Amino acid sequence: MAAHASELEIAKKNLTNAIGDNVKHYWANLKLWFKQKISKEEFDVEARRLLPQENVHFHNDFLLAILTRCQIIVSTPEGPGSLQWQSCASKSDKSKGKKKCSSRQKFDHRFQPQNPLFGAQPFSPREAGGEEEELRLSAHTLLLPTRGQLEARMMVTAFEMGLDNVTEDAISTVVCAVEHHLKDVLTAVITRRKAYRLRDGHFPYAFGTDVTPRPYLKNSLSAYHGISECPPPSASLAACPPPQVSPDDAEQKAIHLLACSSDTLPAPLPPISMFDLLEALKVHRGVMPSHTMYALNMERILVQLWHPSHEELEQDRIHRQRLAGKEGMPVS
Amino acid sequence: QVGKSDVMAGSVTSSSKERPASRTSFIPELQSMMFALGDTRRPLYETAALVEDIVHTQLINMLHQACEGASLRGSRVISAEDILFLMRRDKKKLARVLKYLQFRDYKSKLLKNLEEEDVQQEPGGLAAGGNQRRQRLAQDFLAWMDQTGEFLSLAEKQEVDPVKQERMERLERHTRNMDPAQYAEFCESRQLSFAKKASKFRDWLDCSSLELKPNSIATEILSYLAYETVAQIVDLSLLVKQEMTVKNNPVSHVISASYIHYNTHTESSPATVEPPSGAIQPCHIREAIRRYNYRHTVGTHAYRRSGMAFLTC
Repeated sequence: MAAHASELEIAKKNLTNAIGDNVKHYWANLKLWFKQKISKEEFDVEARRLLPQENVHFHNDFLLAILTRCQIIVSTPEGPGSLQWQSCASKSDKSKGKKKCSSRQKFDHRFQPQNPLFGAQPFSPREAGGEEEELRLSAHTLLLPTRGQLEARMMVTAFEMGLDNVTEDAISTVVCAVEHHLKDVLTAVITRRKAYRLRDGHFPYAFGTDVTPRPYLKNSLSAYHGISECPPPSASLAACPPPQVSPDDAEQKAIHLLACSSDTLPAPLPPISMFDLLEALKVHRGVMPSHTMYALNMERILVQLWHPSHEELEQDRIHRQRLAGKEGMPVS
Repeated sequence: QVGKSDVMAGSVTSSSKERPASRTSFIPELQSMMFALGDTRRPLYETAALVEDIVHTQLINMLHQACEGASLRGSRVISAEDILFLMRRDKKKLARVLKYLQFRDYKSKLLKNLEEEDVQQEPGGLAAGGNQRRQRLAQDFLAWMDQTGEFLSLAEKQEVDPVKQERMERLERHTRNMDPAQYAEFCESRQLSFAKKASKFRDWLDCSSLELKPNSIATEILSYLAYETVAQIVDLSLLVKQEMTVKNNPVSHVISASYIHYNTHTESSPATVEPPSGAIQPCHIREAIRRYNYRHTVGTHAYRRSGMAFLTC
């Protein structure tokens, strides 16, 4: 890892020396390529324009160093991961937070049996560009970004800001931070849909317990008080052990609680939709304090929620008919 | 994997990498403390390291806020009053601190009596005298701060705590099954706390970045709060861990929501809940801290003080 890091620094230094003043253009192009706004070929053309003829290999070296460091080029992307990308590209609306599979793709050189339908995609570990680019964006795979992807992304931003390198600790922190943020958004959505209990005034837990005894009935009053007062704190003075109930007691109390709650369960809710997400973000504005992020994401959600009206669909149909008529094709 | 990463950023963070390697570390003591509080027989090393980080960050943040309070007061040291002031919002926690101060007074009185071999004074009486300084300090301060009479009533509750009584009984039942070696080990770990190693605690805390330093009573209270923080973290992490297990029927759902299952227990687990397997992991602790801070983040105005909520204030 340290060897890779120093290789990267050397490559970067060579590159910046070769480019000279226009280094900002180069970083801007790198960023665009990472976001998949321009393709690799266009990036190469730009690099050739910025670098003098004999130093173009610095550009290749630099890219190679980044990809090696982030272990993107060395690994074979997993079969199921790429299959997922193929299928996800065709589906249009999925809320971002819904699919949270584990992000740790294994980077050993395992032989993955491929689905024959997708046999047209050859996977060769030594092939640069191509497949790795496709898998780079989390918004396409709908998985949490892998450590390698995050590392690459962080380095792009670091270089743009004029910094040299990104440490391992920083990457670990960002990995935690991404998960933390997504969980906060999910908690905001879920707390609006389901009941939960609060411990100590701060800690929400037991999401989705439908068991609340009715406080206006005499025999359930004690059960209600038992719930609303938080369970006794575990350690007051140092010599106190944690309290423990016997299994029979626990079961008895649980059944008593179930009996005291209402006899009609609330109707099962539909899965979390974009409307839920929109409302949660509106109400709990503090989940995304940054205005840029918030505004951007709210716009994306609103765009996803858009649907053409009957008039627009009709117009669309007429337009297609006209186009088909012009080309002499049969009307679809 | 996420080895030594920083925990949630507060206004001041302490990463295990920033502190020099020769620095004192409470990790082995923390491991025993966590065992006594409900974790498995051998808590994980990285879990204890994370807990140490969290406790240290929280204490330093508390000290910074107490320091601001002390300088406002015009005092030259951080005293018990400043810490009690930080805790003013939560009555239960404040009551427990007061009990702890009573306990320390009682203990120092006992020790003094033993030294002087004064036979006339009864060990059971809490006669007013020069040796009740902590309590009087606390009470004076609360009287000053109190406007509705709610604080003064906290100090006067002398009745037997039914919860504590219940716990003593259960402990007795639980330890009946232990053999002498296990019992000795268990007692050792229960008695361990930060207060026992006061000088090490002071080194570990490292108040060099503060303008004002805490005095001895304040340091005592801080060591107590450190222990409380560890207890709170273990409780919350066990709750998180137990929620992660799959539950099949409504009864086990309710049991899991109502009781925390502690690992120190050798009896069989509550009927329909799966027995806990393995120790508390760093991911459980992170999730517990995230959830504890959740309402604080969501409700935080942009201009309010940022940083994590205190687990014991």
